[in-house]
Amino acid sequence: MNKTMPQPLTITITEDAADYIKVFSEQAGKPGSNLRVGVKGGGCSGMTYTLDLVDEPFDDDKVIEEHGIELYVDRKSYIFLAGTSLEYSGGLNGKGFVFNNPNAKTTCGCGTSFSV
Amino acid sequence: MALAESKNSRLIQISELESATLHAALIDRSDVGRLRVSGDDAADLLNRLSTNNLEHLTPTQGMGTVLTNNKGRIIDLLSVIPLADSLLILTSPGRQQQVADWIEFYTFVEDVTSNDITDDTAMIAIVGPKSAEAVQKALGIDVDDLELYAPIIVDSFDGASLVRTDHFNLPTFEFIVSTEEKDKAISAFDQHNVAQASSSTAENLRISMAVPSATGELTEDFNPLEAGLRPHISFNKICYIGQEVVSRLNAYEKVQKHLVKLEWKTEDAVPAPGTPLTVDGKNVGQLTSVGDADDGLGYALGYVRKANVETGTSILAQFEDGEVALTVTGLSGQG
Repeated sequence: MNKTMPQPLTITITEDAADYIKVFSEQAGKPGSNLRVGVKGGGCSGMTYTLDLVDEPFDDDKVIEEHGIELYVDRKSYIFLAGTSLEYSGGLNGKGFVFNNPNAKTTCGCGTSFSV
Repeated sequence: MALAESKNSRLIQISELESATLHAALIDRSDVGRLRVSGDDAADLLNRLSTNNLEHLTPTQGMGTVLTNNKGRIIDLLSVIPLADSLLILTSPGRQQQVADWIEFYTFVEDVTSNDITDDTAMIAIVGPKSAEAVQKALGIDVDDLELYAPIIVDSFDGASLVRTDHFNLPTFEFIVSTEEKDKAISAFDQHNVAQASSSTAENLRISMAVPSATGELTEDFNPLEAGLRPHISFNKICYIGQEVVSRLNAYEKVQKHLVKLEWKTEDAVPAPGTPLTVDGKNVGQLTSVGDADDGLGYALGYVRKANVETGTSILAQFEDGEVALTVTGLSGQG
């Protein structure tokens, strides 16, 4: 019987989201930028997501490369983001990045903050 | 003999209470938690974690604010006082570690550091209508126009600061000194006949003035609107933890109970904190603090359903050995 080894949790980015980051970074006058993602305290539920276009990681950041984009995550945020898929939504409900985070137990009414 | 001692102790307590409510008294509040929070992001982080708008902090103006969890329940009531290079945060007694841990948990990449200075410092409160006069005489500082939470550095003591908090719902100046200079500070006031009140007097003063405490009222069982902490809540600030719940309770007037002041005649049995409160046989709340503060009258605090909080409402505290009739005398947080 074949046993499937569990995959280590990481943060993934969809191809659509990676493509949009490339477009957005060019529009912002920062072509070739990468993305720093993280968590900060606040928001109604306790934690909110952060997204920044940056050139380089900070010391001790985890670096994840996918679809030609590097994601930088500080170690503490990574604990709350492990397993997250960063997606881009261009649907009728509005355009923007969506964090599909399996650690989020509850989210606030507007969906911008979460608790674990 | 025991009865005489008890009567004597009670007379002393009444005298100490009169000092605080009519003149000025000194209360040792060194058990209050004191954290020094420093770093460029300290105010911004606290603003994201608590109810008041800390964007309005200035180098000379602090404020009270409430840490709440994501259900809008009370973690603690804080006084945030700006110092030259950091924020001094006063917590409830014994809550400093919990508050420091809460701040630490929500610190990710921010520049924020908490140091517990509770054991390195002492805090004495000068309380009463004549407390400003007492401070002027003892420390030589004019504090008549000093605003709430605005600190003054007291040069005659090493690294000491004075801040007005009105903690007891009376003019209240908190004098924070190093532990080495605590006796010197008490002596400075004693020389001007500002006597030190006992801890039991301080507790009775707190209850009679409807000041909520971590021992009964400021817990995760209650939200800041129920506890009468509205003056420490901003309804037009950025999101903070618990804001959705607090704002909804306020906007839709869904606050179900309020912290109230209660009185009863002290010749009756003494109810204990936690005793259920009833009206017409129906449970309407519970006692949270009980004192025995004045001639013939006892004071208590309790959370009571909003239909029964009108001043003059008669409520029964029911316990195993009997019952005591109490009267609502007002809401906490409204003077």
